[in-house]
Amino acid sequence: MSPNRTPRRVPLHHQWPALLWLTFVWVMLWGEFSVGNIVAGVLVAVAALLVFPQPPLPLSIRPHPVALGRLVAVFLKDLLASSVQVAALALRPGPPPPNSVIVVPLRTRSEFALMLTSELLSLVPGSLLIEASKTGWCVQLHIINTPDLAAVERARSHVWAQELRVVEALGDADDIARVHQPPPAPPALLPPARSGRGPDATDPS
Amino acid sequence: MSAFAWVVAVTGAFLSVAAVLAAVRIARGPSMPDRAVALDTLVAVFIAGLGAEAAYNRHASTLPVLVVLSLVGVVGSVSVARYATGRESAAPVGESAEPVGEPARSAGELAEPAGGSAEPAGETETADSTSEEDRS
Amino acid sequence: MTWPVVRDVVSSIFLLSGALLALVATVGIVRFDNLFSRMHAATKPQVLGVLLVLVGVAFRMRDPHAIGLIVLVGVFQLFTAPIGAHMLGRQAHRTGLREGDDRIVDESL
Repeated sequence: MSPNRTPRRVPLHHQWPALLWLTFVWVMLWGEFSVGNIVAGVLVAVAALLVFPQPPLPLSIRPHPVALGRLVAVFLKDLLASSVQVAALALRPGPPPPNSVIVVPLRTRSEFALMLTSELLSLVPGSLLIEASKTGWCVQLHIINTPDLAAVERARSHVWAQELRVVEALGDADDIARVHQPPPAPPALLPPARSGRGPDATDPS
Repeated sequence: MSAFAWVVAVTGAFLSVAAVLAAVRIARGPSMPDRAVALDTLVAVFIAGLGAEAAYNRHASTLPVLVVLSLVGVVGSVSVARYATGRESAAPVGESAEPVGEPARSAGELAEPAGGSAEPAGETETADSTSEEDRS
Repeated sequence: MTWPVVRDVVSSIFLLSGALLALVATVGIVRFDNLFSRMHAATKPQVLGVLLVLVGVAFRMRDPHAIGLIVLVGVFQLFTAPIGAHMLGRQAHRTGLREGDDRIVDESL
């Protein structure tokens, strides 16, 4: 943190997700669901949040239970499928198939949804997060096992499907409307103005 | 030996082979990130192994260790990512014709201006200061 | 079958499949010829393997205290693994580490 930028303090009542999470961890660590333990957990969480102020993070979470359930269920299914896929690739004789690096523009404009989508993408079939940009609203992914261009396009649509599930589960109304629009067609590679180079100008090979 | 003891023995055998394989990748590299990836995996194998032992003896005394391991396992990766990415042993200059720093700087343009990438910023700073010294 | 036996059988299935998955993950880490493929192996089968082993452990445990700790280990594993892989992958990509990575589409920036 640079010294000339004083960290803004977030009022405590806006940090209820962090408070809830810290209390949950405390109770789990003690393994005791008594009232006294939960109260102690809340006190420790408040103390921790006061001593270590969090950077302001705009969290506009609107949980939708049904969509959240679907997000979790599909995620578990995806985790299983991706493990089987990578395991099969690891055991398959012969040289491994070619891979790809792709940039996929996203439709959401919520930082939280961007963060969650990109971290989940590392655990679902085929994709591994390289870069997530909140200025360009896009993710850069490494895709394993892309024998042809159709596989690359499938990976792209997986990203948009994942984004849709995340936003439907936790986004506000504006964002949900946004992700229901058709995905932007050509990848808007960079926030303009910053680079005059073509997309592959830096290919180090 | 009870049936469950056999299960834990086989589990242990799988995990032991896994640990050896991870160690092979740590030894071979070739780059630091390769080693960090393998090290993360080794920590995960340790977590699984300690868990299997706890399951066999039905005790919870090592479980706090698992919590700690699962939290700090990532520190290796993160510190390698911050400080030690790059090719094996910054070999004799001139031997590697590839400009390693060049793609780093341009790829950084994708990142948000404030976040991460302290390295390119540091490079330009030193470059600026030297040129100023030259001028004066 | 009595309940304890059922629990032991379920626990065995989870322990064995988890350990097998962890083994296959390290096979991938040794066999794949480039960093990013190895990271795929280190995130997906690895995380699921640990989660399965943890579920197997949970079925053997008697007190809820242990279950709470096991849940925490699983949650932390799910949080930290992709974040660590992301930081490593981002830095490696910026540094231009791509030996042996045969790509048909490369939208590197």
